[in-house]
Amino acid sequence: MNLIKIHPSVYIIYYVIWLVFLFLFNNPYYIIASYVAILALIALQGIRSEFKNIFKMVIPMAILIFILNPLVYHEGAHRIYIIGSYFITLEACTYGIIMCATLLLVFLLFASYNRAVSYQEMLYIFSKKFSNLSMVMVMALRFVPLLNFRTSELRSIKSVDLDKTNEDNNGKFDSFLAKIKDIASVFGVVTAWSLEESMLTAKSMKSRAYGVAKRTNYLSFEFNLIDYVLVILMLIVLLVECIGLVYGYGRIEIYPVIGFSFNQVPLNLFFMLWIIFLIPFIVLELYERILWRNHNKQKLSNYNVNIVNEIATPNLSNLGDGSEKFVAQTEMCFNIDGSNLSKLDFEGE
Amino acid sequence: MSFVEFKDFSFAYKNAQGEEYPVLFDINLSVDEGDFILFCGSSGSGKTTLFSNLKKELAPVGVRKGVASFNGTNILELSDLESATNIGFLFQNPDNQIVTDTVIQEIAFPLENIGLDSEEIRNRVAEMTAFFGIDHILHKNVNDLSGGQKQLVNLCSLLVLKPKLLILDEPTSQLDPIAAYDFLTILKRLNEEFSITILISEHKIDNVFPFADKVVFMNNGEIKYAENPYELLDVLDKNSMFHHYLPDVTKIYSLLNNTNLDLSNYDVPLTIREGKKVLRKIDNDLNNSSLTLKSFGDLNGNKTFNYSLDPSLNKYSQIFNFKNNYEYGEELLSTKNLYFAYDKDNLILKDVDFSIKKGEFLSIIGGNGTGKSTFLKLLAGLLKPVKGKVNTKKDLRIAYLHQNPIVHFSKETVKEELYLTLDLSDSVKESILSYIRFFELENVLDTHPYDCSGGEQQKIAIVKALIANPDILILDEPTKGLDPISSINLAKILKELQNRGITIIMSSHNLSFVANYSERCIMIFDGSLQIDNTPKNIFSNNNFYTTFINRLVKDYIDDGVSLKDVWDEWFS
Repeated sequence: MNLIKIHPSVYIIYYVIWLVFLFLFNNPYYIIASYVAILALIALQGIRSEFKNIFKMVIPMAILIFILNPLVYHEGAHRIYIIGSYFITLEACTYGIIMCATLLLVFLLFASYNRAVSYQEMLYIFSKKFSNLSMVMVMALRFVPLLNFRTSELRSIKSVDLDKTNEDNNGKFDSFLAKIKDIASVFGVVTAWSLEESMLTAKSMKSRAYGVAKRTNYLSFEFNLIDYVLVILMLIVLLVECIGLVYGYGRIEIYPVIGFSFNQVPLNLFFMLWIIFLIPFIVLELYERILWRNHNKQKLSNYNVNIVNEIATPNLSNLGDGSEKFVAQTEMCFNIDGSNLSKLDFEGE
Repeated sequence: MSFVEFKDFSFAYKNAQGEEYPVLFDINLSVDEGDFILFCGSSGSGKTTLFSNLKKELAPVGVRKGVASFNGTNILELSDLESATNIGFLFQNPDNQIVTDTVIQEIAFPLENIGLDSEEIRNRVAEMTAFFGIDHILHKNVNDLSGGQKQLVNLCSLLVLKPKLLILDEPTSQLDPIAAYDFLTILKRLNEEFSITILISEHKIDNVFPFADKVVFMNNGEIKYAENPYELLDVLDKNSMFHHYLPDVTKIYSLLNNTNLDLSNYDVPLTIREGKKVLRKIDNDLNNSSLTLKSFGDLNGNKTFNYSLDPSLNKYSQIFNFKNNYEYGEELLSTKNLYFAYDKDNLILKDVDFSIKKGEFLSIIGGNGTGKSTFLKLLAGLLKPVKGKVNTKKDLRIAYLHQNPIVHFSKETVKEELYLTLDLSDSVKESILSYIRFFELENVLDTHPYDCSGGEQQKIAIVKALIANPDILILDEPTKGLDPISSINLAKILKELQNRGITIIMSSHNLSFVANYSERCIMIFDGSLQIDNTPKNIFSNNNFYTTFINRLVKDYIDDGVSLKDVWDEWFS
């Protein structure tokens, strides 16, 4: 969100609570509600290319869990016979589905979180308490790409050497060993190289006053009214849902006998509150959309005002006397935002 | 009381055994506030040690005598905060000084360190980025910046602390000429408009020399000269070592001065503008005696002006004596319709046709990021083209030298690095030893390659490449960060190798090096080999991207691009 500023810690609390409850709830209605919410939120936040990778990785994993769980785990009352005496149980299937649904949800949650909180904001939160740790993280963010670059540079050079040394080696095992040796040597050089350069980085940090005083952060966020409201809402939800969990709301029995059917819609306070918990950021995102749309409409309607107010009175007095000359005087009044009046005179031959 | 002062300062490193290695001897130097001081000297002459003794945090461990003081206080007694904020130190390599991953974070880094509140930090960052016009890259990742931008970010990150003294250790040695020039212009502005005291060491000094208040020449840990550049020229000119550091303009002046021309009325030129003024004046004077500077060299073969060949002054002879005795042989390597890109949307090389013959010395020039390194890697077979092919002669051996020689080292000592510890036949060993003698590496055989100086590391890497008996030697930016004397030595080596029939391909930003020593030059532009000609032709057609010599003598010598051309035309 660009127009609504929310303190990053509020985001962090929100996503953490959501994540924790995801593991505690296993009622399909709660999970479905979470799905609807997270998909709506992600759609509003804007889906990015990273999702492709997530789906490529996570969906096969989820399917694997879904298939494997009933195959290896045979507890449960409702048996489904497949071949001969080999059976799977309805309970294990249900459990597998809920597991993989939760897993996928966790990944979606992280994707959404990444979009909502930039890592700088996250570091800002952490630097208050763990300033050294956050500094190490920042340096790692710089260091890892450098390490990558160095490794690729080295490997391109070593690959030529490798070809040469391998020519002599006929045995496959030998060349395999040579390859391992080569990778080890690349690793050794990269480490030495990086250490060498890191010494300079350390000098540069030291010469720029690192460690002179307690570190501060260039980012600053204020806690606004909306942040307080959201935090209070989340605390209420946290408290109430915990009470609900104690009484078994939000959870279903799976083993040994499945105790859930889709007819049991949990129309109670706890489910309603869960839905309320899911809504606020979707509403805020929508609100932002509305603000932009209104702004665009406003622009259009301003033009309309101009067109309506335009008065064009061509001076036709010189026309009709046979000469090709005519003077058209046009007086135009522009009314921009209803305040700025300007007059333009056009004289043409 | 001077602003910065060294008083009888000596320094020696101490090794683990307690032996002392003296590096600096009796340094006496005082710098006033607002001075712009240039330090020259070969690598290893003690410039960096001198500089790091001015910054408490970087002060090396060792034995020191005498005092180095800042504003009357001994450097070592400054408080951490004072030292960090008042004295800014910029290192050579733009990459490894950067600590964080985004520009704004990097600039804010020192301010966060001294514990300012975020309001003040943002104010200072805003001011600095607006001044340097880098607000548009504020949120970029540092990996996406060019070398020049990185160094600018590093400078900004020092300036937000509002330092009174800036120490810059070869800040432009890793940059291309245009970026280097921009960077130096900014330094000049900081010095003139804000009176920030600047101590800088540089190898490419043509741009810096004219606006330095004082030039300090160092050799073997001693200050040899410390004077205003204009006053120094006469002395330097007679010094067998330091004359290499003179700007090209001044070198030509000194050549002219050694003829029977009387130049005592002319001011010694440091800039092209001053140099041209002098040449115009000489030309005018010649016109009075019905001669012109233009026809200076070819009056029936008689030189009107005799160069007084005092052997002690014949210092440029080693440059001019490079002759290429080797006849070009058969074609070794060629490409046809070569295309390359790292990703689909960004073609780096488009439809490149290229071929090279045995014995050629080819240099490749062009701006940063135009694909010079990529092209070299393609030729060396380190990258595979997307389309097209690199055709090589059968059994062609190519050696490739990376920009950073460290990449080629993986052993503990230079000896091991050069395979001397392996069980080799005597003839092979003898050939390796002959290379070591030729490159004068006998003294470093037992040291760790990382402990050698930059020039030595480069030589070791070249020897390592040569042991494989390559037909083609490909060098990526070998002239980067070399002092003038080392680059002459490099040229000597490359020329010698060429005479032995080794084909040399190198990329370089050092235009005068290219003009002086290579016979073929390719300029890469917009993914294609835009110009492929002799350096003479390329540079004499260029007005801006050309050597200092060419800019100076353009009006009198049509194709004078190097000192050698001027020599041939006017003096020999």
